[in-house]
Amino acid sequence: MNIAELSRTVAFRLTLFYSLFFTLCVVVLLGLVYRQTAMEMTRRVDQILTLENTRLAVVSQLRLPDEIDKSIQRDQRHIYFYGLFAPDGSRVAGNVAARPQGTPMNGDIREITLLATLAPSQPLPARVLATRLGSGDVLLIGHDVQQLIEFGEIMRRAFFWSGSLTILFGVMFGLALSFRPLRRVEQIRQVCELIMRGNIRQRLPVGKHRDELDMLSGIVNRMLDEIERLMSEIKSVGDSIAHDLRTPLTRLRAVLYRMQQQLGDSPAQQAMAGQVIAEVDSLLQRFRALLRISEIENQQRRAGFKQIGLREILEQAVSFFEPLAEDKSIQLSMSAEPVDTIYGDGELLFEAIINLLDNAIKFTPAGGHIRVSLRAGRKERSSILSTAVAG
Amino acid sequence: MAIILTIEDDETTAQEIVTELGNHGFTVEWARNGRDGLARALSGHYDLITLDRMLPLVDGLTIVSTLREKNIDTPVLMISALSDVDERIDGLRAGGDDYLVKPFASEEMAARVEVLLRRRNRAGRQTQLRVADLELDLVARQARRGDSVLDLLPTEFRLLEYMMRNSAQIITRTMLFESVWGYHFDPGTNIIDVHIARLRRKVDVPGLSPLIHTVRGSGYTLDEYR
Repeated sequence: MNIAELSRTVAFRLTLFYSLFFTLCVVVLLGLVYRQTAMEMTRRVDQILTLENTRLAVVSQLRLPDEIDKSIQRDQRHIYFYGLFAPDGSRVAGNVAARPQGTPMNGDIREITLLATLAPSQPLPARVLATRLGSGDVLLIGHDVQQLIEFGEIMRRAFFWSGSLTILFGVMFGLALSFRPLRRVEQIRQVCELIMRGNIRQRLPVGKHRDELDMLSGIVNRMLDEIERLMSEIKSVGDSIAHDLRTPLTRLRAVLYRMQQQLGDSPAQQAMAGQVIAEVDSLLQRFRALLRISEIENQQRRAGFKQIGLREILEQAVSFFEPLAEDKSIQLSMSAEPVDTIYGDGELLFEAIINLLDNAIKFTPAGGHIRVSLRAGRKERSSILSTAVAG
Repeated sequence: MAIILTIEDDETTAQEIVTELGNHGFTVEWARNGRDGLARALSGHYDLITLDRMLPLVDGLTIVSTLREKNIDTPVLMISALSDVDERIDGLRAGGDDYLVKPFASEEMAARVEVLLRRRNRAGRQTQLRVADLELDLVARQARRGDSVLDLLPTEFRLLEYMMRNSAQIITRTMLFESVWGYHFDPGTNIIDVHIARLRRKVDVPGLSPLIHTVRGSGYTLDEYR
């Protein structure tokens, strides 16, 4: 069984579906956690910004630059930004290099990038609150959100790895799970092949687990029982018809034969009687052939079993047919390798070979050639018998 | 003429056997069950017994094995509806001399009876068979017609031997197939006829009076006068 077969099983598809579903759940869960956390962190930052703004707003214009410097010094983690800008945009105090464009001055908090005085070339992401003071100056308070962004980054990586690993494990697990059902299907296929070849007594394997395949096999087996029963019924009807007709036909033949013997010597009448008897004979022959088939099928004939040489039987059969082939100007030749003796019923085997040769001769035109060959099979103790017809 | 005992429970079959064998000039006595049949058979004054395989009271196989135990070697033709090869083997093993399957053609039955009787009357081992100017040397495996040696294939020799051993008797195709090829089924083709035709071409050369004759509806016979 190959990957394509494995991947088509119900087990595989279910596992894959579940792992996709699981991945989705994980993504949603992580997403919710991230969102909640990010919102909470942002809320806190905003709260701090608002408080700081409220504190600085009441400080007098003259003392404000000092107060800002003090605040900057207190912030040892360097996560706060302060900026005081004159109405013309020039920096009065703080660690923000320039007043960012497009910041509303009404106290709304925005996330923008700032340029710090310590590193003026590197814009930093920050949440910023700006207010215009009574003096016309602009007070800007910001909070670094690098952490928040890094947290998001971690979350995204977690999404990616957990998702892909779940899917990978799902696929592998699914393949592993598919293996057993597929092996069962293979067993079932082999048995079905035997049944299709006419071995109607075969049954599908039923395991101990009572799983769905076992249930199906059970149903199919019950169906096969029924088919077998019907077949044998039909066959026995045919057999009994053949059997019942055979006795009156034989009696009919006996009467005809007696009549023929009492007819006297008139050649015309004799010929007619002979023709009638020949017809009855061919009828009887048909019935005998019919019954012979069921006889062979039904009987467990072991009494006739013995070690037999295939070659001897074949030679006998070929020599049996030689005169007939000669009469039809068909060339009948035989080649035989030495083969192992087999344990079997020589009579049935001879009959089978005779049927084969009979048909070969029947369907070979005059001048044709029938070649019978016997050779050792590839497997140990096996032999191959073949007839080839040419012309 | 020979006296034959027919042990058969089916009246129609028995009638058929009695009539046919009567036509062939035999005296036939009929026993309708196994016990009666065995009692009469044990008297030993019959030349041949036709014996149904399945009988009321005493079974056919028992009858034949009892006879053989008591050293009564009357030839027995077993007649049975059981055509199974195993059954045939059982019947022959128990001491039957031939086995015929029902339903049978009555002349086939009669032909077999005659062959069995002939076999019995044959004294000792023959080394030479002779019918008219046809001679068969079984030791040298040579056949002659008058002065000329016949060039026969082994199968043809066996055919001729069987026909000469049972000369002047009707021999059916089935009997030929059984005795010459050793198989007990109906070959179902006209092959036996082809073999006989071949043999005939060698034995009955133009100019000589024919010895092999076709018996319409039954088989063949090898005989001087026809």
